[in-house]
Amino acid sequence: MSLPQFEVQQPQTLGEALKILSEVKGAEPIAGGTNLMVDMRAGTHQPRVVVDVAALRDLHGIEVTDTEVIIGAATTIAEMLESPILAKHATVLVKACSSFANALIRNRATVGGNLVTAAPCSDTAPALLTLDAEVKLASVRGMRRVPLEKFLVNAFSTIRRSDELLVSVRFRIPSATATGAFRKMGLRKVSCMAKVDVAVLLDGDTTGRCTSARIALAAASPVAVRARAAEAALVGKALTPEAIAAAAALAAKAAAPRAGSEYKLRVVEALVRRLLAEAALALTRGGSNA
Amino acid sequence: MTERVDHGLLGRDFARKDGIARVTGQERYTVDVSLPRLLHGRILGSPYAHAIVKSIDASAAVAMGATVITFADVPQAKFNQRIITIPPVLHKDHQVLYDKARRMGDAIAAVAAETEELAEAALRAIKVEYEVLPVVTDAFEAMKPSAPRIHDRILWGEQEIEIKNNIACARTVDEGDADKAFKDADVVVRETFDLPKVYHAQMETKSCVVRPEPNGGLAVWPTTQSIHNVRIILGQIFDIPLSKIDVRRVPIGGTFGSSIQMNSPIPICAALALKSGRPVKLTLTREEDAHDHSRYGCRIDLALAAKKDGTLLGAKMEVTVDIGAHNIQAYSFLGVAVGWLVSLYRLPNVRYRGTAVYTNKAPSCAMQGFGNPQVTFAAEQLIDILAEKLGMDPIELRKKNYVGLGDTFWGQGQQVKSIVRSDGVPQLLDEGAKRIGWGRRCGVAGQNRMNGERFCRGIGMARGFHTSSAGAPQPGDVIDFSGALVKLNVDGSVDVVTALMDHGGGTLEAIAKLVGETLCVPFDLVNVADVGTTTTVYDCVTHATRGVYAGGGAAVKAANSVRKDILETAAKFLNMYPDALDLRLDAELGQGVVYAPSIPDRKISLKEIATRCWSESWKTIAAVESYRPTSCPPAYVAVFLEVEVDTWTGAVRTVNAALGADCGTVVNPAMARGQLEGGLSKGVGYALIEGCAWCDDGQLTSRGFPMDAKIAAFDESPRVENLQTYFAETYEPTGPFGAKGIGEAAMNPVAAAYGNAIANAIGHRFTKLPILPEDIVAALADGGGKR
Amino acid sequence: MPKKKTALRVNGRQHELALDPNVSLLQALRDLGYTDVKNGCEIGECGACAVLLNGTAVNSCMVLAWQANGAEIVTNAGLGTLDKPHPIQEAFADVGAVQCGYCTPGMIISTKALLDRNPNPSEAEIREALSGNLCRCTGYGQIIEAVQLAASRLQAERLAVAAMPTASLTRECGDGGSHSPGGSGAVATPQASLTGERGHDGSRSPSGLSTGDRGSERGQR
Repeated sequence: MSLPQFEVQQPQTLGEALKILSEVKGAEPIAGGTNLMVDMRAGTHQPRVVVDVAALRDLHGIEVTDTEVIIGAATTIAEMLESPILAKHATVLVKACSSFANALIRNRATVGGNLVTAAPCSDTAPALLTLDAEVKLASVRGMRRVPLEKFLVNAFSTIRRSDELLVSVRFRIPSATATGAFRKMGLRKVSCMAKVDVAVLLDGDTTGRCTSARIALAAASPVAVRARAAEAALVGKALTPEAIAAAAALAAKAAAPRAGSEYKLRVVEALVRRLLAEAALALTRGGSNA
Repeated sequence: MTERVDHGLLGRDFARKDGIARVTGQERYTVDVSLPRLLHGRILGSPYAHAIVKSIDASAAVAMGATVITFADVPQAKFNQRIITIPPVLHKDHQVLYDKARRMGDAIAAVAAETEELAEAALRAIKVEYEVLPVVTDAFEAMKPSAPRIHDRILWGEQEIEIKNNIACARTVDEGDADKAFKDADVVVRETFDLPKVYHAQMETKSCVVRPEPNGGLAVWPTTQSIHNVRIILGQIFDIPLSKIDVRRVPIGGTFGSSIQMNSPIPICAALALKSGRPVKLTLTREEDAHDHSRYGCRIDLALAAKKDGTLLGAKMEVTVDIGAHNIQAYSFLGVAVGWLVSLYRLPNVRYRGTAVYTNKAPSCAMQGFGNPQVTFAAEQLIDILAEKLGMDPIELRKKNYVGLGDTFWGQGQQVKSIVRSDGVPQLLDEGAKRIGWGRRCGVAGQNRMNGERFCRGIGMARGFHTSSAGAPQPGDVIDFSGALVKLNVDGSVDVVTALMDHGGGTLEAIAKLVGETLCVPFDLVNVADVGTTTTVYDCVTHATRGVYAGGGAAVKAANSVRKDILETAAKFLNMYPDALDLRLDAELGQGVVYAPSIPDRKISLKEIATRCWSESWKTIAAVESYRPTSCPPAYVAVFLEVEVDTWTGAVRTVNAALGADCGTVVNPAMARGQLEGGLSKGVGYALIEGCAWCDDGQLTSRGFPMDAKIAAFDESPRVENLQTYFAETYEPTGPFGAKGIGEAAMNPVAAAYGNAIANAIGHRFTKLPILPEDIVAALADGGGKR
Repeated sequence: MPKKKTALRVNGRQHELALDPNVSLLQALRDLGYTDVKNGCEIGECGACAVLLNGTAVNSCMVLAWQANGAEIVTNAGLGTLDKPHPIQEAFADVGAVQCGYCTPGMIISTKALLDRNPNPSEAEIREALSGNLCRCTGYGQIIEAVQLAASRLQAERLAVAAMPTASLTRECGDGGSHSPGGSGAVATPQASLTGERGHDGSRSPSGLSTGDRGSERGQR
């Protein structure tokens, strides 16, 4: 089956790319193409001009500074899975990447594409939400940095303007003791839309008291969200089974699935409880990195 | 049929003849066929599930240089895509193109153009005005008087009949006195089961290449399970003598029943080729393919009556079948549905009512098991329910009642009766119980759950069977016979010429082995010829688990005629009586030798015989035979499973599986194992994952692979060391060298085994497929325990 | 729409093309005659169209042809030939991992990508690496065994090559190049007997049942 017709622009620099995005009507960036190709074949997306951003150097690479990890938007999920930097500083994200679609798709799909598409079942979004990630958007008008939580507006909707390009994602390096966990529940183990994604990132002191808690959900609501009330209920408390159960119940309230998805609420609660317990246990053993 | 003499071919694994071509990417499927001046065809499918075509304007498409056909350009006589049912009782509602769409994607028009892209552009340029009609997607809604009428009149045989309440056909069977049996019973169990339509998801979508021939005929390369039936139907539709239609056998990228009928793109492609005068290729997109066919969805209301000691007295069954928009084989389906039941267990008293209903959805056609997985899902769960009620071990209850050695059964319908002559069921049950650790099975269902554990394990089993062919001692509703030609070449090698299709399971490998075994010819000297319909005698279709049994039966029959000719010819050369001679494989010569057991120096190799026949200008030693199996022996299967249910998420994991088959003599061990494991994979999909869903407007929610039409992937199969397969030691006296079938049997009991294992794990029994995680979580939240 | 100049090096052969921008790599390859690249779904769900793109396994239906400009592409047919199949291909044929064969080229490509990175993968790693490939026939067990067999044969080859005094002359085994047409690497693989028989497990279990499970067959293949 043929794809609809379109023109291609291949800018050599980020500046050129932004210029095209601002000047050419109906221009859409393409990197891995794993979403765009499907949408174009289904006829749900018909860009007039496709702007190849995969080769732009500014969009590549995973860097670490003293305080931050920065991931270029065109970094593939497979590259993230193999990154020693992420393995050291953000295992919650690595775990999310290992649940992402399947091995072949991971070799093409990019983190930027996953975030910009803003599918309810995005796997990278909940993990990055627990890392309090920010996205960097560039346009001819300049750069802006936006918390991921604000970037994601609704199902398949973000605050990105059509002339903007998502350049990178960054997050502060979590404390050395912070411990992350991620779980995806789907109909199959691979290549499936998540029914529920849960990511948690916990930190605590040596007495077993929670000093920081972040819980994020995807697929359980139109867009990935933080379960703030559940987080607040944990901070400052001992990570007892009761506290965890109470937080899990609050997390289920943060989810807002479509009507009739009683199942998702139950699974959110069960998975949050499970992941918090796992992370809490790891914390008592000295914690690992995120 | 044949004596058991071991020349070393059967029961051993050889590198399959097509293996290297397949692994190196050299195999050519229909989609890979390329011809000079080939045009690319595309179908304009209805965007509405139910609509009348008011007008079509194709002028813009024609102006683009495309060849266009619409309803008015093609023969309009109704036909059935599947002609396994005999002509007088064949329902015919198919047409090449339609002026009324009854499902989304029903073909309204088609185009052929120089490129695929141009063909698609031409399609978009065709203007169609539709009158959109109300849609009905539920079989029970469809039977209501207020429901939209999908078909008005169709043909039954040559007779025009009116379709009322969207009921395509109905069948009733009464044997014995079911009411009395239920009155006399100590225990009655009853349950209603809902089985979804699922998509075959064969890897190669339906495809066809047709080349118009200078003599007015057609050369056809289709995806099909029966080249001869494609030829016959094309001849009927286009009024072309069959001698001018050559349908070639092409390797097929999976089918599982989806190509049992002549596929809908084939006559469209032929019409495009005839109109354009050029070869045309027409391949369905995945989305088009998903709208084209599905497994029969049904509701089964089943009741069993039994005595206290577990003896079954009778059954009452009502089956309502959702056949979708076209009747491909509903009449046969209704016949076999009860056949599967009464052939699973001795049920002397049966009342059966079957109703097939049209809906505005993908037409239902055979899919691995043809109703058998559906009925087995109901029967095997109900047997477990009965066992529980009686306090009996489920395996003991099965042993007491199963249809086995010496019993009469009629799996393929009432006219297809035969006597069971080989029976590995006790072996399958005992060995499976041992392998899965049946002794570990908790007698109280859901015990772990009551203990509050998150992960609950359970052990369950189900048994099943499929008939090897639809053979019977008398003619019936179903056409079933095969043919083969075997010839000895001058160098002692052999050609086998058969129209049988190999869907990938190794049917043709088995044929080569059976012929080699009969003629004492080494496997690598047996060639299975590339063929078409002009060079082969009729073979009905590779379905009904009949390839090895019936197709193999025909090949062995022809090979035996060749063998007789070889011995008679050798007798002349050796100055002996034919009866004093025998054949053996000579390892040193690497070929067959005719010898006289009593006079050691009298021997002559097949090569010498064939060469002399040639050099003396005498003859080719060859034979062509047709073969009608007079019985259809059951290939038995038992599936034992240990599953683990995550009560938090509803996820089900297959911890251990033991799959046993009684397929008589195992011809291809590795491939037989592949059938069992493939059966488990499709079965776990049916049990836990698959199930097509339609929106109210008749659109598939999946549009093909994504979302709800998932098939099992790697992780749905158990760990390699936890998956065991085993084979019963039996010999089927009516089969070629004792062989029976295996293919469909492998999948038939799988979903029921999951139902039973999950019930054992969590104490809740599911009667609807697929058993989704959300269903499990909801059932557990409700307290479970449905009985 | 202006055509895009696209240079593809496929299985060692250079193609200079001018293609419409909307032509997928899958379509371009099939149009060039690389029909071993199979179209299964065109939405990245089945893996039948997998190829190596600069050594990485990808769904060619998910790549626009011009995105692969200048890339080195290897399809399954580029790994081995009828005369000289690649050890991975041979392993698939030997253990019955092939039924209809339509998914096989993609499976083998994913296997190649895996074994290039990880010569001795665990079963879990095999499942993960092949997770983008669907098969409707086999149930996957025999495919996993084929990958295991290929891994062990390739390991054995490497050892054999390393033990040879002229090892430096031979390229690393398992490299597609050594098996491509005209490649120099002669590969010793376990040869079938004259009749092509593959070491049948004829053993019978004590109960008299012939057994097809791996417990008894594995070591013999």
